[in-house]
Amino acid sequence: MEELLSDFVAETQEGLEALASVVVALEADPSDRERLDELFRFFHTVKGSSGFLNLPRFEKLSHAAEDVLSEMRTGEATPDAATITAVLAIMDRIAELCAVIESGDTLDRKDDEIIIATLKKCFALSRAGATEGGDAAATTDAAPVEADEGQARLPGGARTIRLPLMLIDQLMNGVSDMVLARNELSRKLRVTEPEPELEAAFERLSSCIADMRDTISKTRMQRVDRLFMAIPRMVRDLSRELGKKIELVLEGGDVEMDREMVEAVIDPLTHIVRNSIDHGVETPEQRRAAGKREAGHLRVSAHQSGSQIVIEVADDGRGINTDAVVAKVISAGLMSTQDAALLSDQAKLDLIFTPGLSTAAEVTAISGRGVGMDIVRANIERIGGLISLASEPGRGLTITMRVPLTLTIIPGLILNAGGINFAIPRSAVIEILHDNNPTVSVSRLGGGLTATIRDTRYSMIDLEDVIGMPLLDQQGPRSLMLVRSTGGNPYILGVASVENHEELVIRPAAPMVMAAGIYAGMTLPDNGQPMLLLDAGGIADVAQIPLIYEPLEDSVPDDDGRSMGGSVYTGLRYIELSGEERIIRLSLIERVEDISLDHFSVSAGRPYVTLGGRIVNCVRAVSEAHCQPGMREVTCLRIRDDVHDLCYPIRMVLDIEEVSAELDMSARHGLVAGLTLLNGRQVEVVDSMALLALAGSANESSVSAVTPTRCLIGEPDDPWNREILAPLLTQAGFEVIWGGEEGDGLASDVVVLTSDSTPVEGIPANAPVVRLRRASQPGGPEDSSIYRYDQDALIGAIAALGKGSVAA
Amino acid sequence: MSGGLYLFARIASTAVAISTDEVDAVVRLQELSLVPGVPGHVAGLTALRSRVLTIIDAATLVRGSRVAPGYLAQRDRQGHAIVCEIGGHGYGILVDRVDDIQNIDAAPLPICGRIDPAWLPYARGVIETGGEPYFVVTLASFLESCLAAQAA
Repeated sequence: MEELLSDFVAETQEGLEALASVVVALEADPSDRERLDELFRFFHTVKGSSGFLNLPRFEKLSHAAEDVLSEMRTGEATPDAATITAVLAIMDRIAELCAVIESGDTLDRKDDEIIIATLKKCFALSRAGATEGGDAAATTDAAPVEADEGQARLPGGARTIRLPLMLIDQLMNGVSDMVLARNELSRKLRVTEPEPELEAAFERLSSCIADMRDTISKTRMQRVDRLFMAIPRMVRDLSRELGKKIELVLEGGDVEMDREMVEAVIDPLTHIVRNSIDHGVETPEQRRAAGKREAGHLRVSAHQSGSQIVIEVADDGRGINTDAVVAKVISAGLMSTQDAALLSDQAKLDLIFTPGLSTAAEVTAISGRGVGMDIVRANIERIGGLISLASEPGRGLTITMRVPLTLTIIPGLILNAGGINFAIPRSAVIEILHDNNPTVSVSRLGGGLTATIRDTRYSMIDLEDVIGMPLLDQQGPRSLMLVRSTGGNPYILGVASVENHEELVIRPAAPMVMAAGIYAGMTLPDNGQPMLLLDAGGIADVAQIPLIYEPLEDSVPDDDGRSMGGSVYTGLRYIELSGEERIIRLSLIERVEDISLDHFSVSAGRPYVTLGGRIVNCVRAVSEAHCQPGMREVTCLRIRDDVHDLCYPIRMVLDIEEVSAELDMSARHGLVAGLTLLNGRQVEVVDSMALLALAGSANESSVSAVTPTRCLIGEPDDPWNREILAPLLTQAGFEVIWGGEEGDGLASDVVVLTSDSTPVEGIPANAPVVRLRRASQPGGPEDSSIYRYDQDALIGAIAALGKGSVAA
Repeated sequence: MSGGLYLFARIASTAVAISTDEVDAVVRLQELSLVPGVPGHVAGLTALRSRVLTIIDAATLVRGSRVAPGYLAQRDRQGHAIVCEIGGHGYGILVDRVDDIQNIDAAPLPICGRIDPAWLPYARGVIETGGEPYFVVTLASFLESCLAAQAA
């Protein structure tokens, strides 16, 4: 009996979750028989089971709803808003009763009666309305046939069973055991003489275990649908309350993510959707006045992109008024007017994540947003995710959350402090530097540490200080990690060294360990030695360091620019498909993943790859010959700047290295910027600019379409101009105009001349001119011309001059 | 509390008996990963196959302070821990040594005499075997007092 009861509760709760969206859809389209039937069947089942289990209150509630719905089914009434609201109230009540059965509390019986009475009253009213209308029986004819169809479809689909979560966790643990045992075996095998047969058998075992691990991980997966279930209802209730009209579109519900992850994302997502409706979408009157459709459009979508799930909430409301946010931040004393004036648009937008902003009561009314967004961001970052905003004032706001596929496996860095190894989530670390780096200076005042990195001051603390371990003597430099705190303000954590990069299986730590406040969990890396996962936010709290960081000069925060300045950066060493060993800046790489050969294609000579339902530029074409024998997958680096995605297929990843920013040999060719010496060997260094230029090239038209700078090229007959210069400029997003074409000269913004050429006629005397020379070295101190193969300087000069002329 | 199967061990040189219902296993400790930043009664972490156990030094907990330096390090190499799972986490409770496992039919006897106040939170009764008395303790009580000590 106990078991039957708990099954009943579980089934009913699941049914309720699934139906919330059905009811709302039904309201939108009252003639939707299928949904009406679905709803009816639910109440019918609940009524039946509750009668059998002797739960009279469930029976009464579901009976009342069933009665009303059955009349709707026969076409004697249509579902109107009031009735649907009352049906929803019944569903809520059933949910409450379920919770009560589980918890053993009591719920006032009288309220049931009131809810039922309300339903009856609403229904009576709506029926009266319908009969007056006189077209009530219109739908009766088709009804019986469709009902049969609905019933027949039910048993379809894959067979499923219900399992306790604990069993799956045990299975998961068992598989982890197997993996560890396999690792140990592999260590033992390496010591002995190689024996091909034994190794083949071991390989087979390894691949079986890997498959098994994948399958078990899938059992923890859940469709994003579950995350979306509550949204239609919430949108309906809120829009009703606020008198707004909203069209909701949900996409990608079939994407799967870890169960725990779904739980962790529900709250932030709810908050964002609520904000969108409350503050983003305008009232119908305002929308009409702004020339928009009355109903606001809200799109919530999910898709998988590599090992991340991307969840997007996009509305077409008023967007964020950045000026108002800035004004609010200034008036709250969180930033000075001068500092604020220096911020880029995106940085202004990001101010809505400022902690403390949310406590200011009027901010909602003024800025429209900002309520609790710092908490939303903290929640997303805690699970290793990222959140970003794109606002078009007056046209809408898109909030994008990127969260890892699973909570339990995260990319982590392994570091050492006081002789102990710790792990830290890769996502918490912004940058790693050595303390002997010339761009870093550490000062100590009254015991407190301040680190200045490239003109920005940060609070700093040595991890050894926090954990009460001695600072050990060491040969090499210590590492400084720029990490994110909970509030988003970064600080510097000093550690003895950063050792390694590993995918870590994270488990919760025991309460007495968590009580220290500086740990987020524990993990068992491949070496079998347990390790603690550090919580960057917690460390800042425990150490009570002030989280301020301020640029000394008015430097615009620009990741690329900042890391260029350092004399050492972190690079990834890998082997190119064609066999060369190369280094690429690690910060460019979003992640590394294996992509199936089927996703690659070549169109019009350009290689592309399909990822997560989008077409992404690919660095080079890939064929079967590039794969490991017997595999149909290629290892790819996923590269991303703020706008573009790029997929870079390679043969294999080797290691992460500290690379000197100065090239030992500059030899620009294609993707390669030059050579650097690494442990005495020459390694090619990838030219980040050239690589990202590839990423952008296909989308360039859309990016530069706004105001392309027009370049006039002096000598149209010169083959170098035609074949090399013009394509380069076009690719960089400039519009090319040829000299000598009548009248066009006046319309150009910049003139490009090869230095040997004499000025072409028809050019305005004061037009900005970029001169190119053939020699790689300037002819003299007066020579301001640009070497014609120095792409960056050339494009930079044109862009700078182009802007100047627009301003003038 | 009626009779049953008990594990007889010594914690801080005091004889204790633990109902085997609570005990998953007894393991010899290999290597410990230290957990800095927590009180001394959390001795560290160790891996038992794919499980990670939090090792609680019961002797330190009972005495209220860590004993002479070197004492812990020495025991790391040869100490035994009683493995249990409480509240979803795996623990190992460090003991001086394990004596025996025996079935005791008699119910525990009430505690007589004025015992060391340090043992008051743990001792639930007394069981005699082989002519020697043992305190009846529960592993859960050690963990509770761990958290209580840290909360204070």
